[in-house]
Amino acid sequence: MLVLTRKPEQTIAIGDQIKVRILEIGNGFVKIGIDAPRDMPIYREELYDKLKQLNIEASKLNMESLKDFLEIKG
Amino acid sequence: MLKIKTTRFGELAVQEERILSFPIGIPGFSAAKQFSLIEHKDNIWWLQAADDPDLAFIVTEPFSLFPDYAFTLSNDVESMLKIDDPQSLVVLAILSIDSSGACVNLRAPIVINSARLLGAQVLTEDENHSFKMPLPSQKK
Repeated sequence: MLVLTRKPEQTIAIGDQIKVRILEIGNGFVKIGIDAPRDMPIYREELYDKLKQLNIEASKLNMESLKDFLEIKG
Repeated sequence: MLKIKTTRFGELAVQEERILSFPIGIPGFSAAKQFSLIEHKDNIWWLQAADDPDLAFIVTEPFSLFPDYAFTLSNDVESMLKIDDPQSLVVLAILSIDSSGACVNLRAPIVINSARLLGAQVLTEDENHSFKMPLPSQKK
């Protein structure tokens, strides 16, 4: 992992297309601005990991196990 | 007609204009870029990967279950899905099961632009939406 130090308002360029800017440093947090191509989704990692895990679980679901719950409205 | 192989439904012939492209895949399955919707019944659908026979999600249209459900699409998503007419938007939610019963993922809905056959799973910023929202009025 590359580790480098930046001050507020300074930017890191990743290749030609991605820029990561340090906007603000507070007490225990850093606010970051990211410019990236639109087909490159940006997530908070813990949420992305949670979503991946949930999708993997959901992909194993079958109608049989869902059947008992599918009396959704009339 | 395109033939897609599926584990659950055998070989399916799907019209090309019914194949949906997911340019960035679905988190956890980023290699699967093409899907087809197969109706099960009563607002329940399979979102079947066209290029992975084993991969399918059970999905439902969330607004009829949760009339107050709403979320904001970012400009990036609108641009990626080439949304120019909101009328062509289709929103689906992936079903899952946990100890309390069947749930839908309202935090990260599947958004499809039916006019352009483009789709994506969108992780919304709204923390009030649950990844596992229990279905209303479940049979006990």
